[in-house]
Amino acid sequence: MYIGHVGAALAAKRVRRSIGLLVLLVATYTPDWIDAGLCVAGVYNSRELLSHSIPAVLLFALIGFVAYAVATRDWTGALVIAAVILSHLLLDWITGYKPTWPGGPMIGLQLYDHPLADFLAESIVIFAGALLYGPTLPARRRPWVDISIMLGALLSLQLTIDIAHVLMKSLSKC
Amino acid sequence: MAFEQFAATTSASLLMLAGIPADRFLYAFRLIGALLVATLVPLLIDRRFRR
Repeated sequence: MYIGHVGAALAAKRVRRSIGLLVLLVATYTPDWIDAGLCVAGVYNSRELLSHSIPAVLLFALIGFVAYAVATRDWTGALVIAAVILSHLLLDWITGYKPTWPGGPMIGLQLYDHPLADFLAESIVIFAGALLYGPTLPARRRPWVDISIMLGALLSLQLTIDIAHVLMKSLSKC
Repeated sequence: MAFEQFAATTSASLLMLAGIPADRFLYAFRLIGALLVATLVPLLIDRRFRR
């Protein structure tokens, strides 16, 4: 999943409004940031075992939980951070094809091969996230305008990514 | 040498000198770029809403 992960961060903002959106956005993309770091460091694993397997994401969630709890003393917030990190794996199983554990099977619906289905699945998560996020904004006369702007921007990004994916299928991974 | 060929070989050589193969650099560049955009766009919109 690409921009759909932002939907998870926006939904989490509704659950715990005191958590900054930047923290939630970093949490929701943690496995991908790790992936990029491993690639730059030259220790990338083509099956993404170190970044997207179940034990790896559980470890990131635990680290996120401890780091947030130590920094803020907000245990509920720390649980939300851990849940957002875990949501990355669950959402990737819908659109991608990810490892389970070392030696374990790869699982996922691999919707990336079907851009329309991918766009639809991501849009549902983005839409749900934006709707939940709306009430966290300051009261306004036309709150739906704000939600529409966020929704439009995220759906545009997702559409761009899906089109780019179709046009640049031959690009190799790390 | 055509400009495109010059640019391609020069960039590749510079990357190899830095110890980063071109394929790996491009993947990391694309991934980090996409992550930054996916993080900054909703963040900036949110900041504007809350001003």
